[in-house]
Amino acid sequence: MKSDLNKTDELTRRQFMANAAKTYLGVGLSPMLGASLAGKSMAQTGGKSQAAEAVIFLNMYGGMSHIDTFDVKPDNKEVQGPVNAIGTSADGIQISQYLPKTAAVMDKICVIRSMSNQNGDHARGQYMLHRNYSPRATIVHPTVGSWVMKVKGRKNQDIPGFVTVGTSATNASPGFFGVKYGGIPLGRPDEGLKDSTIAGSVGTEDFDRRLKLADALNKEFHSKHNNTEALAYDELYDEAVRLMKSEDLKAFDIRDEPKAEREAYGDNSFGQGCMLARRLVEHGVRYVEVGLGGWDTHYDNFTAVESRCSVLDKAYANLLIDLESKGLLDTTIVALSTEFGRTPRIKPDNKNGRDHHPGAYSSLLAGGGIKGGMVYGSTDADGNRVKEDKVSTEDFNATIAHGLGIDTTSVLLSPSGRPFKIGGKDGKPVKSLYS
Amino acid sequence: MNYFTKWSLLFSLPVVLITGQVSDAAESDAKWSAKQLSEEELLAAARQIDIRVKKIYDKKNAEQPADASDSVFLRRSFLLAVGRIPTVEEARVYLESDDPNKRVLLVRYLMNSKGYQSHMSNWLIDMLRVREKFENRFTAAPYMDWVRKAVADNMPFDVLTRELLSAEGMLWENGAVGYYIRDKGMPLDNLSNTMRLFLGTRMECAQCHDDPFNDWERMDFFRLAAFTDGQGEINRDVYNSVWKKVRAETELRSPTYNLYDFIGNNIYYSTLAGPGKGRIKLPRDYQYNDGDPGEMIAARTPKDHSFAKGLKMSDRKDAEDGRKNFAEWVTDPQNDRYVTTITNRMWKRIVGTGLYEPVDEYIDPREHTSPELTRHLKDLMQDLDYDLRAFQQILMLTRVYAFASSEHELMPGEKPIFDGRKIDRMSAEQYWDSLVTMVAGNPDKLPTRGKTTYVKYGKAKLDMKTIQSEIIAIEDPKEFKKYADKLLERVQSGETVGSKPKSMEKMEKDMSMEMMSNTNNGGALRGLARASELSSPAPNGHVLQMFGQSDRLLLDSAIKEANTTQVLSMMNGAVEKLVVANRDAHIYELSEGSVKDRIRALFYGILSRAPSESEMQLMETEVEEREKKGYRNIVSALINSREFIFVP
Repeated sequence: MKSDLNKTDELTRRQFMANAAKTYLGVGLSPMLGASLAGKSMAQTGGKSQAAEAVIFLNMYGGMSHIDTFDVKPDNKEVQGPVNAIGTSADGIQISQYLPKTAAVMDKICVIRSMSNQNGDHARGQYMLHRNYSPRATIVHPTVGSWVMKVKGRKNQDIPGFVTVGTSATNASPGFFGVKYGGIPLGRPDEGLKDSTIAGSVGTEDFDRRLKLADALNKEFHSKHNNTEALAYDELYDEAVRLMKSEDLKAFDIRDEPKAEREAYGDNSFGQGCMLARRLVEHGVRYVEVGLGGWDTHYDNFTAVESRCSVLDKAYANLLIDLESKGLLDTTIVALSTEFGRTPRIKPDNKNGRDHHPGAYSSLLAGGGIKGGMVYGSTDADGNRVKEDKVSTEDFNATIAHGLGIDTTSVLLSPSGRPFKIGGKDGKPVKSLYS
Repeated sequence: MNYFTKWSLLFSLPVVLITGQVSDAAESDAKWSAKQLSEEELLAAARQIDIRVKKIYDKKNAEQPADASDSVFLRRSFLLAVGRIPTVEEARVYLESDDPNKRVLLVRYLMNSKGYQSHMSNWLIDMLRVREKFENRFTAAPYMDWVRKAVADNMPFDVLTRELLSAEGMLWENGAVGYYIRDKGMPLDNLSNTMRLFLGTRMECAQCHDDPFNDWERMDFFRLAAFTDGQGEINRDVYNSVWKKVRAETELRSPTYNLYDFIGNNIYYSTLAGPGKGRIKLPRDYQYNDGDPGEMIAARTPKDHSFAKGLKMSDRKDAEDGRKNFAEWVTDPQNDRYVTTITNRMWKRIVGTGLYEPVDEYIDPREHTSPELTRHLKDLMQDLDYDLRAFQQILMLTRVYAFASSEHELMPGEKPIFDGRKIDRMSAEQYWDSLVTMVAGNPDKLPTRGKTTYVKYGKAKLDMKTIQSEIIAIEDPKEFKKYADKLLERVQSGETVGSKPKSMEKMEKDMSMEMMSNTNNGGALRGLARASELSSPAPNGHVLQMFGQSDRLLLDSAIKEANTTQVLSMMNGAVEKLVVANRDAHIYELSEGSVKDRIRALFYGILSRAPSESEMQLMETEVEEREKKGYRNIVSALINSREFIFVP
């Protein structure tokens, strides 16, 4: 079985190579051809005219119940349980009663109700959601954020282009692209970029001396151990020092925000994270992920979903309104997804829990040229299977990439010469979501 | 200074420990008796491994790599065995000693220290994904305590496995029930994890469909799940009938409401009934021809020569020993996947490269680099009755462990020849504990979290073990209501509720630890204690989190990737505040005498080696030019060097 798969890999690989060679003849098949992929895609693929410049990716980790949020089944009490559906600012679209503020801005949002994948396991699901390939023992795939870094580069050269907030640090992983393209993982939004100024008792002179002394030791060390991971830290020290001197460091400090603004987002890590995301985008950061956990509602689903939704609703709706009022919504794609949905079946013995359900779930897109007030795809009456217009995790990410003007058919090679694409092997953008 | 005196002070201490008590486990209720191996036996076992490793090289007509230097051996051994760097004294005594036997003594010193328990606890807590709180956000402390005690007692790994897989009863009496309670509501995921953890078998795909990458069918998975099916809470019905009324009749968040809610979440939630029915209903979406949705099927273990002999249960009636049977099958001496998996995990931990990798995807030993070596190691593991400490100690006495570091990167498909550890960034725990060591000296003497026996409820303190056993024994709802109402009165009077009040001192300790683990960003962030004593996982923003500690939600999620926040923290953050600018830090205490002496002491305490001549010159110039500040600059530079964060 395994050897068969390897063969397929080999075939696909050759095919990829041929394609790549054709497209980039003269550019060469080097892993460094990144920058040339950007900007070309509009001419090649048609679709929207102006590319978006930034992405805010909201990661609902744990597996968000689609039926209790964006794919309500009001006529089917057996699967819906106690949740009511409410109308929204978009004609004919109903969502969960837990999301009233979101309902009011539905005209800006595209709901994809036909998400589907094959991973019922959190770790694999999250890996796929971020990297579009299944985990392999032999390689670490780059996350979409680092793809964007690799292909589009920074918009603001002084500060990092990719930041994650309140989510597993692995989601900032650059994989085989190397640390240069990795994100900055922030644990808490209210602490800003911690430790980004020279400590009070140390002057610039001593700071520089310390770096010089360490450099001398490192030279010796690297000459003994030619180790990629150790060398990666050298790059990061340079980067960190540059960052410390940057004017735009204040982008990370949400304490600058007026109190009313902070309250509008919700006084919790996710709400403040969304506000930070907006600040970062304002300052030219390309890709920000903000995480909201607690969706793994095997046990007491409705209590937990309601509490998650109250956090999500406030922050999400306000984020869209805020971006729009600052003129950023047209150039910022706000995406919301999760690793899988949850079963239509409600388990009474687990205080009404719902289990993992990768077969059908919902995700959202808004801003950056996305058509608002629309639903794409649908599920059957139980919310069990996708009825039409199935969208995979890879397709979803490819759609985001397309919005940024990245050619999703282009191939980059890993250092070991294996071919990869931003939307995975089979990801295709759903271009009709863009106006 | 008389180094000999120092030496014997430091390193002969464990001799006492070996003959006396080995750990905290004075009142051990052990269900096993570990073999006590003499030094000669340990060494002889190591030589047997050397012979097998050498054969790998002989076969290739290759020379074995050279031995690592003393300083590499020292640093590596500390970091691998006790999860931290040596203190100034430990480094100096070891490096300046002429004792030809010092490596053996060092390994003994480390493996019998509390640091070993701390470091192994980190490993096990990680593997089992033990978090401070269960999914319902109430304390899981007794489970954590159980795991830590199992390590302190050096519980044989097969016993530990069985205890976890077959546990029943009340959390405050038997913390091992936490293994299933931790995954309450998701017994199938729990089973996937069990298979991966203990048997190196990935079945998570087969939870929902036949696995195209392996041979597992969905039916195999459900037949295994049948062993563990039927978990529930003890006498939950008694509670439910009363709670329903209380919830309807009392005001939300009133004292009565809150107490009943607390009892549901803390007393009943944390019990485990259901010894494993041995049969299970196929799920509603079962899609293959070999069974119908909703059909009752009997437990059966998958057929594969790598597992133990097959085991079947009845599909006619519920059994009383499904989980016990399952636990026996998992740890059966004939179950090659079990012994191979734990052997490989330990081998990789010490030698650096697994017999195969990843360690949770079993590969038939016949395909390994040296089937003979693997067989030998497995036999050794079983001869030692799964004594993980003895096994690791033996590995640390082998030559392959002592090889100099290598930069040999394996190509896909290439089989390892174990030619020296590849340098590897410290784990978050190793890094943090090393910082703690530089601040406080040997951290074994720092306070530990102790055992949690009381839970704070308003002003009252509840002796949970007593209360849980009393409540759970009640079969009659009326009796239960009487008990709960009385409890409310006692709680409101603020008394300590439980059988016998313990000494105040002990109680205060319990409470302070409880408070520490209950805060989200207070105590633990400031607390100067080893990683194993802090909350699990460490709070957001803690150095541990920054350096990639596992979130303990998913298996295998600790990471060692570099990122900018770590670098900022090393230059301006924790390192600066805790160590460099901290005049009381242990690292400065022993730095006395001439400039050269002081610089040497700093090198010992930070990099576990003496400076080279050119390094000494460079640092002397620094001190000359910057005086006092120069020493601080040196400390900061050494900690910020690549050499510091990479395990040699």
